[in-house]
Amino acid sequence: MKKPYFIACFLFLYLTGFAEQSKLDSLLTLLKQHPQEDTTQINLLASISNTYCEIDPGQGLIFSDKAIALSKKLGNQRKLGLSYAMKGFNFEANGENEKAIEMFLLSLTAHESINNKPAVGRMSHNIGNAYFNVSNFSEAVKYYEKAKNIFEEMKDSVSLAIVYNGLGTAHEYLSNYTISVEYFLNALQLYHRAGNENQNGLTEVYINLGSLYRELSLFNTALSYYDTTLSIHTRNGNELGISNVYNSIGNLYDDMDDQTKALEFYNKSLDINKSLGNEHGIAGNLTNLGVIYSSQKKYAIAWDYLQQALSEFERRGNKSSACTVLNELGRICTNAPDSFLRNRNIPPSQRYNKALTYLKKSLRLAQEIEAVNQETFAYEALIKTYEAKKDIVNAFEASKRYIHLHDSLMSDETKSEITKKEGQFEFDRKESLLKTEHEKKEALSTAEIKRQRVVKNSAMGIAAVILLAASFSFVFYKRRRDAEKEKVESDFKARVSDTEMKALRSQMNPHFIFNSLNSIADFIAHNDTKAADNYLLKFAKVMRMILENSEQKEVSISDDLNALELYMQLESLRMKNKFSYEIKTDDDIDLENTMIPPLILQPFVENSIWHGISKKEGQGHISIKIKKSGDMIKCIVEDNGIGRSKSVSWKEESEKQEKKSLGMKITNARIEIINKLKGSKAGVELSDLTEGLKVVVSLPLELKF
Amino acid sequence: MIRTIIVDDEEHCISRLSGLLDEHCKDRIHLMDAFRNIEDGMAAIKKLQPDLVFLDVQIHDKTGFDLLKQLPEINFDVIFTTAFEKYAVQAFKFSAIDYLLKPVDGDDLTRAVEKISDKNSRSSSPEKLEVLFNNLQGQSKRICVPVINGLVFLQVSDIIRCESDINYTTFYLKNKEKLMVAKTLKEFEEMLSEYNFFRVHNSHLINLAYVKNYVKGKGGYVVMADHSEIEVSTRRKDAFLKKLAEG
Repeated sequence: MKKPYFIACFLFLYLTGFAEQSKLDSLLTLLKQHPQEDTTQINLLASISNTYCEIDPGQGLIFSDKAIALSKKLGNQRKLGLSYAMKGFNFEANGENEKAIEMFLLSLTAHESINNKPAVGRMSHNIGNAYFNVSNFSEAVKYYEKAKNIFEEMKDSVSLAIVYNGLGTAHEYLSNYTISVEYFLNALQLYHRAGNENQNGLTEVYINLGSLYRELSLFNTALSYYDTTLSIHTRNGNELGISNVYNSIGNLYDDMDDQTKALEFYNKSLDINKSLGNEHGIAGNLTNLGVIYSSQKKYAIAWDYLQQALSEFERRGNKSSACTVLNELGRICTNAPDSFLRNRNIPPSQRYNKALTYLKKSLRLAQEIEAVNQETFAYEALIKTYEAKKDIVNAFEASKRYIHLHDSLMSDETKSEITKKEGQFEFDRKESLLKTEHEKKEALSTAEIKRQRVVKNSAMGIAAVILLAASFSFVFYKRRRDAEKEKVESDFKARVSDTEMKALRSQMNPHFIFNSLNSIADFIAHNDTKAADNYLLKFAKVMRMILENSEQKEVSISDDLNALELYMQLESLRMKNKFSYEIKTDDDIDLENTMIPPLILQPFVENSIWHGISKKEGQGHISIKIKKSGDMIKCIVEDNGIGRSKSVSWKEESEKQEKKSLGMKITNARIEIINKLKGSKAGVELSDLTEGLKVVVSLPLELKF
Repeated sequence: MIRTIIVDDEEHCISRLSGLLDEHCKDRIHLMDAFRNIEDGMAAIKKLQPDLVFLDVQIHDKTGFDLLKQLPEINFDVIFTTAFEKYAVQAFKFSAIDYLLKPVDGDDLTRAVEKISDKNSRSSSPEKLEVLFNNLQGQSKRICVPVINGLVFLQVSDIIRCESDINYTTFYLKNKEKLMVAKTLKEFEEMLSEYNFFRVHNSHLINLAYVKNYVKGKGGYVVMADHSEIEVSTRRKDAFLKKLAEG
């Protein structure tokens, strides 16, 4: 399982506007000139409160309280909603997220009471953001969805894109990666459709997608998303944005085990955040730096950084990030040298108890926010500490919980297999709108690879705890992983081949059509109108069948034989009954239910007619047999033509491979694809008869039901 | 004798059809005249009061359906002729209205004419035509199915599922009724798969809109809105799940 990082997530705030002292001053002057207690005054109070958000939230709260009181007095629900929202924004700016939520909820109620839809949508979104900030992801999803429904109803695609982004992020934190990807791509699609105007929104999605790809270990793709974001932010001079990209790139290098680079980028980000006074961002940087330093045994600096970050996260109620910090602090207490602990007033004899205090707190927070992965990390650290303490009983208990959590993750995964398939498919579909074919395949595999990694790593985790169980589970998981891997590969090939099949069929049709047209021309030139009419009707029927069958990847044998029979009738007519034909099928084949690729035999029949029978003196005969042999269907085409040795064209073919007939070449390619697709041993065998040629096409037995 | 006219904008089509009628149906059909556009066709129908009209689907920039819609009453049989208008053929199948594919085959023509002369009632009933028009306009999808004692017109959205019984198909409807139809499930699969129906099993075609839930298993089974449990064939499982995900 991947290390948890602090990741700055990009959530749009409806609070905009640059705080300028001059703007504030002019607003305050206006307020003085407007003593009447009316809606204009409320508007002024709200604007002032809004402006204070970035300058002095304390003052902002005072003005918003005034606005609330006045709105209540006037009984104006619309303005009351606005005023509560302003108070909420000021709490939020102050890092008091719980209080902000309380205000937003009051604002929501006010807007709902007058059925002010746009405002309800925006407010629901703000509440979603606020819940996200306090790591309450499932509540965040709930409110985002509410906003989503409203914006969808209003067809407000800009707001919708923003909400999709929020939903994507929240689902990512809830480990619902496929849903998450879907939302991000939806958002991206909306932004792309809207054109170039919404660069901020676009960068938010890009960086979130980058992080997701990083999670899925697709580092190059992640990096390219980050680079794009970075260049947009640099162009727009968006310092905050740049700092966040740096932090993300730091995460990326951390994942790639390049600690030097990671430290470089974290520090770059930290410098910018310090100059901007972005406390939350600073705490994030310190966490990431602290974790690296701790792993490098630079405990003193790590400890300071982590403690600083912890107090900021606690103040803001960012429990998810707090868990990360607490786990690392616990680890330091367990591992650091005695002298280090003594300097921090922790008696070395108490080191484990101190560590357990941190870790249990982390565990409690993780349970509170229902973040299963954080809970798992906490148990992982707890096991290590109990082991170091030689507290075997508790170590065992913790490992039981750890395994249980893993198992529940696993069984959840199996349960959601359908959902995942849907997700994958959606993923695939959406992605194809935006990506090149190549990237699409890559992304699809990543979701699977990520899953496999979880499977594999979990096996390793258990191994560290219970040696015996580990060896068993490792074998089990490895086997499963291999099976999964194979499935992914074959799915890929299916996709590739499907496209190829289509391409091939499009070649096949013209080829067949022109051969037939040639036959018709030939026929018309030499025969009476009655027969020409009959011939044309049959040709029209064959064309119709081909058009219909070619939409399918596979058709039933009975349908295909119908088309083939018509084709032979046509040719037989053309050649004035120069040959007869027969079609025999084994009784144990269900012709309606057994599927074969459309017109797979046609090129061979064509060869028999054109190269075998047309050059023969006397009556020709073509026999088609369909037989079942084990799990294969054998389609046999026999003719009594002149055979390969006498046929000039056959000789030429063996001498010059490239002159081989187009139909034959395509058939070979099609069969190759079928083999790749189904792992079957389909093939074509040519053998000479004493008189004529025998072709056996073996295909895997494929039943529709 | 069946008093007949042809409405088609292509001279060679008229020529071919009248030639075939002369050759195969001389004893039944009295071909009065042929008309090359909608307006002439309309006027002729009012004046000549034919029993049967061979009507081309595409006539210049209009369609034969436009012609029919302009008539206050349709008191004659219609056999449509068309080259390859997939949407129209689909609508013909839905409404069980006769049609001939061009180039017209003499045997097919004979069969269609026989059907009309055998019957006491008209084959293009107003109800069938209504189904046809609705389907062409992409409005409420209805199909016309032959049952033992006549025809039944069904709203596609009222069908929960179809089950095959050799050459018969049983329809299970939303109002808990059952209908036995003398057609194979395969024919309905072809007609309905465009309307969110899926063949999950050799003997089952289901309306995906009524799937309540899917229970995993080797192939698994689906529970429909009427609480029936329908087995999903192992080989259809992947395609089914994909189709479900498409929504």
